[in-house]
Amino acid sequence: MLQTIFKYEWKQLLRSKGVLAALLLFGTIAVFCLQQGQSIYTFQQKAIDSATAKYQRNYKKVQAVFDTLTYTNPGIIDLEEPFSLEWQLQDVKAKEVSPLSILTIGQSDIYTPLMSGQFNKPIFKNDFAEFQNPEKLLVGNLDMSFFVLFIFPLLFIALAYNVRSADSEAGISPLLSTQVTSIVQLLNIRLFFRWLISMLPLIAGAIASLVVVAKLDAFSMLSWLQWWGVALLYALFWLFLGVLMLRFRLSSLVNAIAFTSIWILLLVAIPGLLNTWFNYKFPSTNKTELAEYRDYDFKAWDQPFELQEAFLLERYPRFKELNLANGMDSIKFKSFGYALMVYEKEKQLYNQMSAQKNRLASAEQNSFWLNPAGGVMRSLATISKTGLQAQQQFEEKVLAYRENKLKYLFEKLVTQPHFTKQDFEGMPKMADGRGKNGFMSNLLPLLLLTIICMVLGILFRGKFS
Amino acid sequence: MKSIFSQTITNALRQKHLQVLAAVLLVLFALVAFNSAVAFKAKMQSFEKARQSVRDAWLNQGPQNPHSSAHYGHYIFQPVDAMQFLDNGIRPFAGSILRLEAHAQNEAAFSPAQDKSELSRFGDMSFAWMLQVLMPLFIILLCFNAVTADRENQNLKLLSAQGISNANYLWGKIASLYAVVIGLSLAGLLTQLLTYQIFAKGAGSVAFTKVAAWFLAYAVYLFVLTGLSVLVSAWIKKSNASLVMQLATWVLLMIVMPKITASAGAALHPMEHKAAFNKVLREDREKGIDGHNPEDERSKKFMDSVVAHYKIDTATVKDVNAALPVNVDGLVMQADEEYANLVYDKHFKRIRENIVQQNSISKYASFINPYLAIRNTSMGISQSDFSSHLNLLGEAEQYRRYLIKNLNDKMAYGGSKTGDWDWKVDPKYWDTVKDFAYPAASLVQTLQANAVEVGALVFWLLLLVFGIVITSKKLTVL
Repeated sequence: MLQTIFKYEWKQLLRSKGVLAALLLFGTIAVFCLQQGQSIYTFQQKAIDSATAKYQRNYKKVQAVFDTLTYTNPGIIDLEEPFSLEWQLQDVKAKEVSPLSILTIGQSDIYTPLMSGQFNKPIFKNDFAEFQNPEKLLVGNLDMSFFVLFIFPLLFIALAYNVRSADSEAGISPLLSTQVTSIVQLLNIRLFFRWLISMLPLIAGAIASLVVVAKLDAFSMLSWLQWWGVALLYALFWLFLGVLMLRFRLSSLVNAIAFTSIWILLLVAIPGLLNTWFNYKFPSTNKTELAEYRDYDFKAWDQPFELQEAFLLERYPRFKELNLANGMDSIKFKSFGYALMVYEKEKQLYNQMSAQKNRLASAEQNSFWLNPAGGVMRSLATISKTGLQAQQQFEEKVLAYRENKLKYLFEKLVTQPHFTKQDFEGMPKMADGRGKNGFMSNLLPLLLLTIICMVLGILFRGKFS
Repeated sequence: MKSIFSQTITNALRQKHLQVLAAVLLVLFALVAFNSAVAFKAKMQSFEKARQSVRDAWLNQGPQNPHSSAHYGHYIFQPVDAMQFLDNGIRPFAGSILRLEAHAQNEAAFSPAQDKSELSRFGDMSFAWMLQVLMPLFIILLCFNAVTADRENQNLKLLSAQGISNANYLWGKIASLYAVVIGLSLAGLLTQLLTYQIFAKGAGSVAFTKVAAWFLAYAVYLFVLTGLSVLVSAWIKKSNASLVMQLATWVLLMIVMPKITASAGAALHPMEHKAAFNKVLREDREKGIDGHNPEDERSKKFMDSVVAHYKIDTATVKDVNAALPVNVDGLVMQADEEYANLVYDKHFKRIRENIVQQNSISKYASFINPYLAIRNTSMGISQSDFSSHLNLLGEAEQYRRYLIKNLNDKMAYGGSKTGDWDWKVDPKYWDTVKDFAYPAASLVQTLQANAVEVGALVFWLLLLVFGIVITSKKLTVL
């Protein structure tokens, strides 16, 4: 029976030039979406490659200078001084851009993938931010996740809204009900077929995406499967919603209105209203922190030495043994105190700003029960590492790295007569730890909705048919 | 036409689903109005606070070397205009803070969107967005069967037999359905303004002429959409087909096409990498006078010209610097600034023109998609479009130049000697430097900046009239 229905539907499909044209158009849009993601990925990768190559060149240049140092003169040379060394190195740290960012651009076109690795270059400097077109950002990206979230359901709605009502309206329902197979089963199979047809552009997109991303560095098959697994779950939600809608004997017109209303509600109205609420509840600051940091930095060097000394000794009690009366040592000590004071201020302001973002992310997570499409978006962005969480992890790693480096360089400056090549090569590295993924928890509301639609579809098959 | 008008409007108001939809829209208008008013007031207060704190910091620098102060710099925050309460436009995605300092022209950085998660890309609701995107959907549901229903239930045949002309019939339909649409939109506008008056008291007044022009643009847009929806209903025989086609068009025009035009703009005019930009900027700057390297060849030439200007005989005078009545460091730095300004103008102009070119695709696509026409016009009048952002950057840069010149002049002519970097100005001096003020663009200026989009709206209006004339000649009753 399945074969017969599929054959019938297939013939109907081949006869319908409009549907074939729509499939072709949607397939083209899917390829375009992929191309969009790829262009942003390539742009970012180019910026990263260029910046890291420059840093590598600087590193090698400085390393070569260390080979020539003989340390015969008393005192230290410029290169041994942390501020000067940092200036020569122009350290830069890059975020690992996941190949899956081609599928979900997320916020990666807004967040910067590069940050200064210099201990004295604050996160507020924004030196590596690329030029942006705000109008393009406002419109948003036409990427694969947009295709999955917005366009796939439209195709499914266009194909499935009249799967039952068209027969009733054409007066052939009584004929169908005389068949051996139950009409409910028949309609379910027809709906399933149409769902499969609407999946064709997605399947094409999945294959094309594999071809594109598999050859890139850092490609993970598991992540790719996770991404498409989320897409499949979302597609299944629409299938079971369709099954449930079949149970109500609605006319084609009402079905079209109902499906469109659900689409608008899930993807436009609820997320839009929630975002409006979150903007009010968690407003962006005016970034007065930047001015506050500037004022602090500007005055920190001129603070009385006793204050800087007390600040440092509180963190390094072992430095009490050092002879601070010595002029040279006191300058080293002052530099250390100043650098650490300014860094700690930066970290405090950053944490302040970060806390607001965390509160927003957490409130958004709680709203997924109201906004299941948001949960899907977050899951896709989490897997693709293009969301807020991935950016914060990157920023925190850079901050930690800069702190380690600051302490390392100044501890050497204060406690050793010279900063050697060995010390240079032993400078701290940025942690390579991968953050938690946890995309599944965002999908629970959608999973529940899918199950509810499925169960209601099964339970009420007799009642509504 | 009068009877068509009253009959259609009565029918529309009787339909249950339309009543529900209208009620939902009104509730949404109220929710958005409250949220926008409260958020706008908070934003305005936050902006004022930030502006004041930066000004206070400037005034309270105490005794300071002018050049240190030039490095200390100043911050400009994205200003808030009362019209943005109606349409926030690109503001969430444009840099919210701009640092003004010596030797460097910075870009506005840290857009509010950087503080948001990926979910923010679903967009948020403003009254403008509701009129642009949701109202057309309401229009579709109101008008998709305006003619098809009459055709299906044979009313059209009856009306034709009664001698009602097709033109009168179509104009009557459009006018009556438009009355519902504009009535609802007007109710929405009044809700916004009333809520603003109550909840955003003291946050700046909304200019009546701007609101009137803004709403007039929407009135034209909604009229065009209502007319087109009725015309589609006249061209297509079945209500089902009319609905599906109009919904598909809505998705295409409101959701998909803006992304395609924006992406096409970016593909046709790719953005320059910051690293490449910095490289050419640095190369060009290195050709000029470096204020911090007096040994620089150009700096030396400049120094010679100053010496010649003050008629110092270098053959007899031992210490030229001491003999000069001015601090040459200040003059050299100002000369360097002036050269750097030329370099910055050249390169930033290229970047900004590129963005304008990217956006021009959407601009001219207004003739294909009326949504793009109204979106851009609305943002323009609300001063929340890219052109307003450019104006802000331009004004801020002019202020930076004024500020740095003032400080360099103080250094040069304020009584210090060349090389005396420890010289400090009297704290009273800071008050003589005027604060940054951003003049709001007039309505005429904003309309001029959006002439193409305004033209597109007029084009759509004319196209609709043409469509009605043609359709009234070809309308069939069966």
